[in-house]
Amino acid sequence: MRCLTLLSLAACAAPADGTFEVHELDATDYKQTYTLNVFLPDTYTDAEPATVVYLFDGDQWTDTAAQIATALEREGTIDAPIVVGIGYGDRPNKRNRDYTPHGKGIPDGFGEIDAFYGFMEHDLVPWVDEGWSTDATPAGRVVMGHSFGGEAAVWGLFHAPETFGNAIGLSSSLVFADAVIFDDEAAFALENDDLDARFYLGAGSQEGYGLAGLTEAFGETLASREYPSLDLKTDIIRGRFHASLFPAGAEAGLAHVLEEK
Amino acid sequence: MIPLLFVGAALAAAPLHVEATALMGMRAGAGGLVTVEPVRHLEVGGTATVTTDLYGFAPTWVTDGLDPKHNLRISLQPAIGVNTGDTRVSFAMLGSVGLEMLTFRESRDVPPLDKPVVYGTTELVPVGGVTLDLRVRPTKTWGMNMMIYTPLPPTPTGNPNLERLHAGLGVVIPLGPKS
Repeated sequence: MRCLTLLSLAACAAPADGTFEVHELDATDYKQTYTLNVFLPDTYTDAEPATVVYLFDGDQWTDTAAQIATALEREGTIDAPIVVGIGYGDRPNKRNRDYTPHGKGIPDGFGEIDAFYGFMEHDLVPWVDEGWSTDATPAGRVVMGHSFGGEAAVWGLFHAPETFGNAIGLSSSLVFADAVIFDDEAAFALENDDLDARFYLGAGSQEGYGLAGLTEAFGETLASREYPSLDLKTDIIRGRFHASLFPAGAEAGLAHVLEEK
Repeated sequence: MIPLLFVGAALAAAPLHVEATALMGMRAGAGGLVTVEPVRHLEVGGTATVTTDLYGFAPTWVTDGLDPKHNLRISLQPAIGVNTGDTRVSFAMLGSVGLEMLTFRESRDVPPLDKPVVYGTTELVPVGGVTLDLRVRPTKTWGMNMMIYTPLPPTPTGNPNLERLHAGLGVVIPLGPKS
């Protein structure tokens, strides 16, 4: 029925093989309660540390990401990860505040990603590692998001590499605040000779508004650093636009960062 | 061959319905609808649209530094549907499936980079949707229409396909025999 009402390819896909739990967690350093949509794949056991995907806009994307992850597992591409979809539940959505970096001329209510990553690193990740059997290393953690969430995933690559060793940025809003993320990348390159990460950067060929071009340019810039430990894939997916990229991008991104190599 | 001739003759004798409509959505442009009515209340024909993106709908932080070189989307869709009849105020609902050719090229100044980012694409993609069309004809010779085109299906994520959703106002010219 849901398949019929949404007329959605993702919703028509086979259901995810696993269980969903909903939790709430308060940020220690600022006033915000987050709703966490946690997907545990059927293959999860306490005996085997699992990779965890920290998914932005979790209210919207957790079901889709879980379906894609288990579909990739069924075809033998990856071991399905735990997915922790970070959302707001019935509270006001604060993605503008949480997923965007501070920069020149940003509108009110934006640009507090530093605080949000503080919540991620000091509250959320320890809570997840305590609650389930997880691979508690950067290589065992993925940040993933779309649009502003994609920008947040890319930001984490340069500002929290000691916590997150994988990032999937889909239709990332790289233009935000005069493309300040390019400055962040350059600052990271000045101080580091290597970036030990798997990184998937995807956009739709029909995105327009400069997003596909920016994605290509960001990928080229990062590749030019020649970091020995960076496994980068820049992907312009033909036929997709901003609102339609997530399923195809998530599939390619999860395969890239989680596939055994 | 003979059945085809019969079909051709029937269509030639059928009421012909022509619309030209100015379109607005996330894109702006013009559209045309030409249908015949081989059977009363049944319309068969096609639509054509030519549109360009309205970059002004985006927030300034998206459009600052963006220079669209060109942006054009042309869609041709065979259509079939029903109408409420040949009255002063009538309503039609048409389903259509076809192709859209899109081509755009743009450059963007990115302050941290020393040269603009240039990007462009030309693609042919399948499209389809439902047109709801309200027609008001004060005289037998012309009228006006108000339409909305809802693309179907929605995006693969279940979101509405806002890029292709559009509405329009235009003129209606009924030709040929009355239905």
